[in-house]
Amino acid sequence: MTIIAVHSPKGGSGSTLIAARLAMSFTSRGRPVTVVDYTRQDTLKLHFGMVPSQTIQPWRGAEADAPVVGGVRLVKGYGSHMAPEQLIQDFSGGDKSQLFILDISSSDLEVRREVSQFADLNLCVLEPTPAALTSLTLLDEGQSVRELQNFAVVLNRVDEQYKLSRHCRRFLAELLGEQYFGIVRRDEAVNEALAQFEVLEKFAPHSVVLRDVTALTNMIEAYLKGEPVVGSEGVDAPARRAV
Amino acid sequence: MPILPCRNAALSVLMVPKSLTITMVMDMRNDARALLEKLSRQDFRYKQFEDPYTDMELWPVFEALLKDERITGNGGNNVEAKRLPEPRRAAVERRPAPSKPAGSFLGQYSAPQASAANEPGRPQGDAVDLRNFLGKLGQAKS
Ligand SMILES: Nc1ncnc2c1ncn2[C@@H]1O[C@H](COP(=O)(O)OP(=O)(O)O)[C@@H](O)[C@H]1O
Ligand SMILES: [Mg+2]
Repeated sequence: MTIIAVHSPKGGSGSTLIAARLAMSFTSRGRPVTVVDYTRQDTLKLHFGMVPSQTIQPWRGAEADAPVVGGVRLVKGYGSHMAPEQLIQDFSGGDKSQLFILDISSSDLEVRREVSQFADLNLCVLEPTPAALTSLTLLDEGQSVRELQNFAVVLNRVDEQYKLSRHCRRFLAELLGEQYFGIVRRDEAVNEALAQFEVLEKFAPHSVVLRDVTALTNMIEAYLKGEPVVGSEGVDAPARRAV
Repeated sequence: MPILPCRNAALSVLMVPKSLTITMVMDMRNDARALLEKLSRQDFRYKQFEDPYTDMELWPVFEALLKDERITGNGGNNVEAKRLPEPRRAAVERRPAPSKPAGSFLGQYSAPQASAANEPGRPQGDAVDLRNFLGKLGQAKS
């Protein structure tokens, strides 16, 4: 069993999108995936083509409330009386290949902290904005960002038209080194797909978001295997860029 | 009309509808030219963005974050002393703490800062040499 916690210290950065996309990406590679929604927003389901009126009840121990959509099992963790670890145990059934992806609300630092104790990877989603970068300072009261274990940052909604987008990307790559897992670019097709109640693969099969999440999935897979994480950028990016 | 970002290892290229932006048409890369020929080239203009590795700027927010112990710690000198997560599960082998970036320039910046707290005479501003940091970013271009 593997656990990936997706969280951003600033709301609206794209944690839910990244959690949903990673779930579908890992599913397409043959892994059984469960996403646990720990947010109040209830928007995760939209990324799976569900409509607003379709609700998932908080998990209370009855299988009926965990629909499987596109091969991904969707569980509502928000409002459940169970501790995250217990809830995960409920679903894992001892299956080691199971992957759990947790979508954690930006303001819910309590759940973030609890989950960070046992998650295999804590993926922090940031936007290329001063506000998002600044929110990193309040991520953890005990440790600096550079000291966090099993921690990585992905920069979402990057738009290379904008100077600050390019500079934030470079800054984070240098600042974080191996903790930096690259970018997911901005593509309005994400929102258009949601408006259409369609999954992104169907609505915009050539979306850069799909491509970038594939690269992110590769990095996470390497990380989980304990292999050196070779991204498309990072401290020694120039050598890689020559490809 | 779609915007077609097309990514290359060295430079970012974006084709945008003419109606949306004013762009500089410059010497076109061959791969972009081929793509434009496949598409209706009337519909697009070509814009080549500056290499993100050369146009770094001294944004004060970057400097502030580099100086912030909550981001960079004190150069990793007290990692052992601080609380580390207690793994309750041993399913996956833990990876070592990420190593500092090449040349450990962050450690270089934050170490004096830690002592600045202990030595009142030392000016805080010395702790982070952002120009040096960003200079390295510039040099990273090969
Ligand atoms: N890479 C992207 N490109 C375009 N839109 C995005 C991207 N990532 C997120 N969004 C949009 O930004 C908004 C916030 O994303 P969301 O995942 O809900 O953030 P969070 O869960 O961190 O609050 C949503 O409307 C989402 O569709
Ligand atoms: Mg969310």
